[in-house]
Amino acid sequence: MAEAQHPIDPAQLLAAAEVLAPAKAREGASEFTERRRAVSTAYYAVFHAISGRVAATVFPNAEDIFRQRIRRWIAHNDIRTVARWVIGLQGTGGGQGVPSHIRELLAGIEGPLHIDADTVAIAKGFLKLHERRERADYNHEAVFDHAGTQRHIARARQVVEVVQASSSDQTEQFFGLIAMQAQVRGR
Amino acid sequence: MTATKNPTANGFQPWDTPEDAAVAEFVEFAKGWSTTGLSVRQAKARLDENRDGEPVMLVQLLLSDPDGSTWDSDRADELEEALDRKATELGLPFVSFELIAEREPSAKIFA
Repeated sequence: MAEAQHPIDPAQLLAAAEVLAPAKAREGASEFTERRRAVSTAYYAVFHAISGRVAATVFPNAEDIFRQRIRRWIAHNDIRTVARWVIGLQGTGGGQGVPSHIRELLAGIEGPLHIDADTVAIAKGFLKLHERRERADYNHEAVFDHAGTQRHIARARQVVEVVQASSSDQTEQFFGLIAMQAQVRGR
Repeated sequence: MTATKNPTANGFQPWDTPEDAAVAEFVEFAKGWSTTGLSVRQAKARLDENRDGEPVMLVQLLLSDPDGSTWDSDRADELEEALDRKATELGLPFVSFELIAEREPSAKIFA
């Protein structure tokens, strides 16, 4: 059975983010540069935690190497799209514009719409970190002080924990819908 | 002035749209926000865009110093949740937070 030699581990990414964001930067290092990398790395911990759950949800009995390869097909925007639906339905966070068929789908056949706390925490945490990661990687004016950077890392740690621990029906649906956004890609 | 449109070369444009007024109301709400161990000292907000050209509201908050390396997660979540709710109520876009402690060098942004 083929095995991945160097699997991408969210816990290791979070540890790397901590190393990149000490209270005092290395001699001669740019504090903002290192903190930008820390925030980006923390985001990737969340991204890979989610892609791992997506693959495990869709292919629960597949070999690790199969799941690791199909995880490459899951794009950032696949997760962002579904996360926006969740936040839009939940009513905060600028997730307006949920298509009516998605609203009806997630509202279910019976009763009022209810999205559980784990799903909301994952969706909101992903969207916040995704936005900060884009600023970290591309925006020259963005501010990355120590306490703020540590806040992003702490949030990423929380989201990773929820992603890996949650077993609610709604989080399963969340991961499944992300899979349905993803496309088979040539890599 | 702490609520601004996109800055222009010579400073900040006046509030001339309902959206600007909403941003101003948001900033006033943020400045008054406080919970155990976490207070907003100052706030700035401006409408911006993400890399896809979608609207985002960039919010910079000057916060009371945390006891440790960062603020308590529950309190920080509570703060962001309250401000996200207010932004939604005012019809403002997705909020991107920059949290700055009083002790940090970037606190001078608010001077």
